[in-house]
Amino acid sequence: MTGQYIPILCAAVVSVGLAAGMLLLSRILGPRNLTKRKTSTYECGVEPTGSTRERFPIKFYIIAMLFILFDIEIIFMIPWAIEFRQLGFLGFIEMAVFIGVLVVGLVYVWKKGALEWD
Amino acid sequence: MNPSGIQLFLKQNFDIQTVMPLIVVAATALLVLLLEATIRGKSRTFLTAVSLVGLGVALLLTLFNFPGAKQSSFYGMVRTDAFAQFFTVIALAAGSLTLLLSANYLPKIKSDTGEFHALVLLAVCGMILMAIGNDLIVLFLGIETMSIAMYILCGIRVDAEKSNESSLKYLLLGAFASAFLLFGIALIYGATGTTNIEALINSGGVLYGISGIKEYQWDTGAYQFAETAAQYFFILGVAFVFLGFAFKIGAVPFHMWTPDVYQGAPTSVTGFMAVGVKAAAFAALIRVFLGIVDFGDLYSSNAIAYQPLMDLKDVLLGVIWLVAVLTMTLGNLSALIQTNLKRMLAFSSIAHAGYALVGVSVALRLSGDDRDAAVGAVMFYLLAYMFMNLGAFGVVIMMNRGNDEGEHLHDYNGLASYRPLVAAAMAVFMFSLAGIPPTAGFVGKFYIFSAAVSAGTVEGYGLYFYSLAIIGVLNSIISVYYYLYPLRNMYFVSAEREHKVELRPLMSASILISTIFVLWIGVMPKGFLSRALEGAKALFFG
Repeated sequence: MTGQYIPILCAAVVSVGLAAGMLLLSRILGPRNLTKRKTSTYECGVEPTGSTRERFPIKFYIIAMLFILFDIEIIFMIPWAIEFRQLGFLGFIEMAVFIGVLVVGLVYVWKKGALEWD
Repeated sequence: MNPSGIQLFLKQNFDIQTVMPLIVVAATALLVLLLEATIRGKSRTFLTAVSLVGLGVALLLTLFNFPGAKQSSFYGMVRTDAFAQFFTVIALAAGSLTLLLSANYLPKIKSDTGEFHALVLLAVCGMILMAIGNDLIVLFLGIETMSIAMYILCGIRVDAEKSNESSLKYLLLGAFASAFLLFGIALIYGATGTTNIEALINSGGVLYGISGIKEYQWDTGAYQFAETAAQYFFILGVAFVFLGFAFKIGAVPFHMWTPDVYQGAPTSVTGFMAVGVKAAAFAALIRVFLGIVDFGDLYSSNAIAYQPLMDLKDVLLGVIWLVAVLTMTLGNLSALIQTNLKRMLAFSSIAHAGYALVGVSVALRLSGDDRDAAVGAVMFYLLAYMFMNLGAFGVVIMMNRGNDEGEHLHDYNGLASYRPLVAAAMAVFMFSLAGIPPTAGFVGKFYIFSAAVSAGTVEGYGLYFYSLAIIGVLNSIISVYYYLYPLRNMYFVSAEREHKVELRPLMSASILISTIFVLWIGVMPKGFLSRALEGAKALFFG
């Protein structure tokens, strides 16, 4: 049984070895002159100002969450659309129920004011 | 397959009727959500009515129109047998009682929102899925549907820090447990090639994954190696799945989250969690574990190669034995020193999970009618526990005066002198939880411990199960102290001042229903027990 797996083992060893070797080589051979300019965030860009951990409004999160929720429906709709004829009327009803549930969610979100920016 | 063939296939395998209660509850949840969003005005009490109608219709459908003849549907994903029916009823009843309890409580904690009702309904959906699920994936789906709703319900008091803490703790630890459960399911699938419980049982543990490898005509050494590896994958999978369930039922050592989460959550949610989530998790646990670890004599011809699988049942039995003992003892001992009644009930619910686990451990050893009796005892116990525990939480809610005032044991001082009926109801629940006749709790404990004793008569298991029964009874005696302590305060200590205890109609109705059932089950257990036994019999495929 082991014979079959030898190529996989070889591939694993070679890929790990190659990556590790390259990193090691660049570490050993690469010149290192750490000037102040060199270690700045953008070596040849705009000077960064302030902290990276800045607070920003929670609205972004809400929009992002809602986007993901309603975006997922595509995953279900595309296979259904491709097999539309095969699935027939039953498939149509099932998709209608699915969309119906989503619409209830949309109405809820809308009425609760989650889609308004201010 | 041609289109008409597919339609015929769907007709045979998509029996909508089998999941009708589930659909009704889910549709009600959507309706409640829609009403919450569109209707102006402050009061949300009418949503309680809408939700209760939905749950009532589902309950009637479950009781009187549950498909009996055609049990397996949706490609074998769902199995609507008497076992599923029993636990569906528990889920629906727990949801209804919780909503009744919450109707007057929600405005008091400033959480009178439609979302609460919708989330309770969705949690009930999850519980029903766990009761009828016949596939590990469906069970997982049910657990997630239920848990996600519960995470939010715990934190429904947005302005209370404790509520938020409870919600976050439950979410983080629950996510861990879910991950373990899912990994376990994946391992079982890897070893056997199926997630369907019926297939797992019917195959008698013949590992599909391995019989597939056989076709490659590998040399014998490789075959044996793969066979052994698959056995360990299967065992590891079973262990992980058990871990996931043990978390959900709050069994020691996975109980750490229980006290904090239970205390922080709104009291009606705590009651719902203690009875509903536990009952549903036990339904899934029993359905999975009593079937798929029992290999009978299948491997006796090749006992050496299959030793790990042959031992699995006994190992699991021992593990559940230990977990049951630890759960009972730790729950009871911790409850002894509590001064907050809600926290005390949280620890008591850990102990009760331990009593139910005694029944599961016993059922693993027994076979035939004795096994059905043990499983029936667990089911009966969970039903009785639902009424007595929700009733006790109902009284706690009634005593609540906003925030967590009214939860301390000294708040109950002299209650009997100014609210005799409330005190009497509390007395019934406490006697029942302690297991004193003529209440439901006594009958439940009696059946479980007598099952343990009958398992003790099995050759070579005497010490094992007699000691289990004795430890259980000793634990019951310990628990009498802390259950009767509030009664002492109510009846024998005079009140420094009378607390305002409002007898609101819906809340009182819920407590009254619970009291009636606790006494009814306690005095005439026969009808309830025969339904439980019917369920237990339906569980096994013969």
